[in-house]
Amino acid sequence: MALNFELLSALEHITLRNIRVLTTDLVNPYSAAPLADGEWVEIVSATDYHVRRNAGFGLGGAQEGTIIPWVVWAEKGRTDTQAMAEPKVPLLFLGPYEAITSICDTTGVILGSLLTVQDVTVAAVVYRGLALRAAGFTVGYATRVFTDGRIQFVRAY
Amino acid sequence: MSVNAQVMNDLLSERLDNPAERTKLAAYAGDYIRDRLREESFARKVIPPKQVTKDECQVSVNHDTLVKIIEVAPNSRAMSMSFRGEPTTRLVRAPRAEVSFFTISSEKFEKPEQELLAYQMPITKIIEDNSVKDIQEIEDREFLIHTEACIQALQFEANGNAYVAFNRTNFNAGTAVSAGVVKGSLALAAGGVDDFIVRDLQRRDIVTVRKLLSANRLRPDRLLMTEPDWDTIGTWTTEDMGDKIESETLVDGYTYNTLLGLNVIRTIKTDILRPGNVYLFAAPEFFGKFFILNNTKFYIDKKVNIISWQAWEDVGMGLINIAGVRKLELFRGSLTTDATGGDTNKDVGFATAEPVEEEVLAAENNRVDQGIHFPNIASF
Repeated sequence: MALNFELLSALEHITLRNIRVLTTDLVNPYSAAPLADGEWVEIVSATDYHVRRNAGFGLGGAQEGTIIPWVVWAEKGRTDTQAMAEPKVPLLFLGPYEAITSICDTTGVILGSLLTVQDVTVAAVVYRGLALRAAGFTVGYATRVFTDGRIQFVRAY
Repeated sequence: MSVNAQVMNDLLSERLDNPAERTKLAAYAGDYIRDRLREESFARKVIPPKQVTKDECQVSVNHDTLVKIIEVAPNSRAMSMSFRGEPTTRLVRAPRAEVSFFTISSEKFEKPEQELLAYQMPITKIIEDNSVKDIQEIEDREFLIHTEACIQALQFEANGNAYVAFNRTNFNAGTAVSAGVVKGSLALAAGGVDDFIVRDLQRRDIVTVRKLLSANRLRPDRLLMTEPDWDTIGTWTTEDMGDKIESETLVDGYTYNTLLGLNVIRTIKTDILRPGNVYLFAAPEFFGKFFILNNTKFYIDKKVNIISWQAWEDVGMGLINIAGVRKLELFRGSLTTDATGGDTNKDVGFATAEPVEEEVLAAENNRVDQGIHFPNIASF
């Protein structure tokens, strides 16, 4: 299985966090929509410290608004995320980095484009991935756009 | 060996200047107030862990995680027949289950070496020692949540593949079947609401939960309960214990480690195993596996004047035969999950009967930082 997300920066400059998923189906590779590496999740609320896809996931692809999203750094089906009694996923939490992702929509994206997170469709599957920012939260800047549909980007925070 | 704690703090910061000396320091003093008793893992007493190597594990072609595959005994049966009969055929197969590994880690601790010198106690050594117990607390919490999932699965199946709230009301009305869990006899008494007040453990309760296991051709082996539940044995009378044991108990407390033929595992971690929850296990070979891929590792480093350290281990737990555990609840309320793993089948107050959140396990007993200790001396 090819990687959807390839980190180009050294890990020592990035702070990782493991945060519980809101529903365990997110880490079950046989569920309807498991999380993939390179997908973006958000914390549910100020009083609910779990991560989920955006509340409107799959319902029209709203762009991420004011809530900070984080990228999932775990391939679909990893057994370490499933083994915990309350499954958690690793997130690239703090620190800028450069990466290449295939969980994205390259429409309109050029060098330097501001990127945000929204529903994207890759190989007929809907994910929460990078796309050209129209409004909402800027998660990074495009540094390269590949003809095969991938984006190389720098995270902004 | 016990050395002056401040000398050890000094030594620590000096030795860490030399990369070759970045090892843990073994000696420490003990002249400080403990916040709470830290206890070894009870999960390790239910299923003694076994060390495994990577050579015994399998990897995925899709990612870099490891599992150990466990085989379960194949099923078989015999049959009676006439002289001219022929037995039915069974194509032999045995189920397999995967046990996956994950990491349990301490926090990553950091401290400028200058500030380390301000402590009389060997603070790094204390944290190192406590970290091992902290890690085992998480082991216990993980184990207990998995164990409760086994109980819920047994209940789900016995109630016609439905999540039926198992509380006193439903059980007495006959609308909830008892398969994985039973209520204590005092909790089943008439009157009141389905609450989470913990009733005293009765001798007959242990017999009742034993029968759940033995009725499935499994031999009850070990009982897990909290110290507060264990303490209620002190209220048992000569009718329960007989004259000899009652006399001993009155003087020394109940000093035996077995009860009705069961090995008793007691824990003081009442924020993980909450009082009123008593689990009965079959022997480990009938229940599950606990593997250690990497024993607790301790890393310590110094960058300029910042000392940092961390401990972690890699473990895997697999409760393979869910029928190998049963539960006794000494309260009336329901802890039954719903179809989404949510709380809609649980009665009001259920949180007092479930393990607290991971973060809450670090809660302090003492209130020294808030200035609450007596006499409260005001130095200026």
